[in-house]
Amino acid sequence: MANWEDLADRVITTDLLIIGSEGAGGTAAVSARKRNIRVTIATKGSDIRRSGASVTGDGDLSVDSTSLVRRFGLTMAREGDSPEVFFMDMVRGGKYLNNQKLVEIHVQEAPDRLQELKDWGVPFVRVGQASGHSFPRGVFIPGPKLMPPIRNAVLQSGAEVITNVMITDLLTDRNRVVGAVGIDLETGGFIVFQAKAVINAAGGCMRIYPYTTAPEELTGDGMSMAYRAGAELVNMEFPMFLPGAFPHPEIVKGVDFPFLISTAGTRMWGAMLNCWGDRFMRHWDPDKLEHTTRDICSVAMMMEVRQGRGSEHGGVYVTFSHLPKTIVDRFEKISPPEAYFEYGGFPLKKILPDLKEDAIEAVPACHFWNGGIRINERCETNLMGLFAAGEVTGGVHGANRLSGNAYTEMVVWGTRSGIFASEFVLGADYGTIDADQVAALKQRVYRPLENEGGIGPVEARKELMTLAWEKVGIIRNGPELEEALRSVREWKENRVGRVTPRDKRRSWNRDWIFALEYENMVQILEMVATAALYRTESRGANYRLDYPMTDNDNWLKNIVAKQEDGQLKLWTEPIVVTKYQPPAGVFPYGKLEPITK
Amino acid sequence: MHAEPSKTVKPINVEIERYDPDTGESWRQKYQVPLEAGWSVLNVLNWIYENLDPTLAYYYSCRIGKCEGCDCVVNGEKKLVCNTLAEGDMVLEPLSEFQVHKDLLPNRFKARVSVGGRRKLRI
Repeated sequence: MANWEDLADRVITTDLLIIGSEGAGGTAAVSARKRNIRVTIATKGSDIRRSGASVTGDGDLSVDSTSLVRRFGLTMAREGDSPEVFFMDMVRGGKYLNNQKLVEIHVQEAPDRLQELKDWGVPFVRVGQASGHSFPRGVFIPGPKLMPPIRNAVLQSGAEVITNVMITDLLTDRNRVVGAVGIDLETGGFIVFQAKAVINAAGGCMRIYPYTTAPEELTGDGMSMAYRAGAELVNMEFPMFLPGAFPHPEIVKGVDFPFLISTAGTRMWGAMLNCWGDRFMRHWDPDKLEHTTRDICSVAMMMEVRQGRGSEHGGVYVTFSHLPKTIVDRFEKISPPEAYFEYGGFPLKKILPDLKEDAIEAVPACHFWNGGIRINERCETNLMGLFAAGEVTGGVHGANRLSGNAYTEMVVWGTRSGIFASEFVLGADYGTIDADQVAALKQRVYRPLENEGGIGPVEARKELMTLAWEKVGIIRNGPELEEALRSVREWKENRVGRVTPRDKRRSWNRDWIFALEYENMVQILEMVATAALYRTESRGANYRLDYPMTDNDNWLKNIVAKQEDGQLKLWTEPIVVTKYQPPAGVFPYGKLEPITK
Repeated sequence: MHAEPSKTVKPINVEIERYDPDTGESWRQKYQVPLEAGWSVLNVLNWIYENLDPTLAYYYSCRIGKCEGCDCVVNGEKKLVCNTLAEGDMVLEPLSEFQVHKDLLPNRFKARVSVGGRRKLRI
């Protein structure tokens, strides 16, 4: 057998490899570099801030309100809040499935991380209060204002950034991760990274759904590669949906403007109607209507669609027509245009009907991934040398994330992963890279280019998205989940590995990358569907028509997923409780909402 | 599920400046696209990639005007293709300030050195 080095077009040896360059990966690099170790970031994007979810945030960063007043002088926040109150909101909002050890750290460390962003020059625009929060905690920072300062901090830290690289698999030496392999998108060359430790900060898998607010490349690569390497994943039945993106027209598909004018915050103006003109949220939450939590609102919207009361393009309607025109004009005048009618630079006024008289369509869109790689307080996984941070992980948010906590997770856990991974690096050697393993992973990567006659990656991807949406989406049902799993297993058997790119060249080949991403997406979909079927109750983003109650007597448990002997294995573990023992009993879905004053 | 809504389609001509790094060749390629109302320039590029030409290279990530990674020259003006409405025939070229990886894909780490015409440079 050849040396593993001979199998690579390029070998990169580093102390710490970070997969993903944005909020979590970037802050991980900055904190790891403080120990003066060699840090290498690899990203699928063309540069920091040009890919990933962080730059797309609308975006609040949640910190307890008292700290915002006292430490940051933000007067729109309010005294009386504390990390303990924030903790309780998160645990209630997460429908009790959060790892409470992680939540305690999350709320404690948030102010320090906000200070760090301030020191890096990140501007704080205003503070808002979103549903599920007892206090105004959301420091509004638009993604395009957040990421350039993080980019500068990363570059100044001396971390090496390698762009346009898709990491495909982790390298293992028994129970330890010793590096990774990937493709240089420019040359198509095979890169082997030899590293003492790896931080996986590769983000979520929102792209398995056709409606998503997430960027193109979030195809679950990080979770899938961890799974294939033997890592444990948790809470995979809980993707998160944002109630209100455009299903149409195509230019704004996935843009969350309908959400921003209706369900966002605690008092936006827009009303949601079904095609009979009924403001259907009154049946679900008569007090808060559209301002109930995002999971319930998403379920309510899809129930309208499922029962034939939806809009032309498969959603529901949002309108201002119930309000006097003077008030709507006032709304436009006092709202920051870039957050509303000039959102994302889109010509919204040109595309949309007059909201004073007409309605726009809205569909729930996959916005976040609550589940992911299971980590402990030190961002360690069950594999030695593999750390994880940010959206790729599961546990912090339980079954549902509160608004503003994605940014907080990104900086708190990104930074922590850098601290603990660098500590590990100082006492570690390089481990042993197995040439046979490298050869097999290389073969897997290049195999699609040799395929003939299989389904094309674009078509395969679309079929997967349709199946995910229709059978493993927001409203779930045992028989439909089983049907989805039959398709997924059939694909794993007969389709994955045979997807055929139309272009056979190695350089800048989108079809090829799509084919590799497709394998990851299928793997994630299998995990979501299997865990959703396993959880015979309704909670958070797992709403089951056949098990409509929230069952605290039997389901105060996390579902853990792991690959064993090539098969997906699931088991349950009791939730991790430190401070708050959730109530026993069986409740109707949505009745465990935080009681906010 | 819901019925497929009716679509209004208008055929348009799209001319794209191509560059193949393997051969060093540059050329302008024309495509005909059945434009639907409410498509962005990015939707047009995706349609070409999906239906006509898998070799067409371009970059995008967020699709919502935030990552600013999809900027190209659209009918002579620098724009993000994701938030620019496609309304008729168009000419698409890569950014003029960077060297080109392939087609519309800029190499953001390498400035274009000459002030001369790009096509001349490559020949």
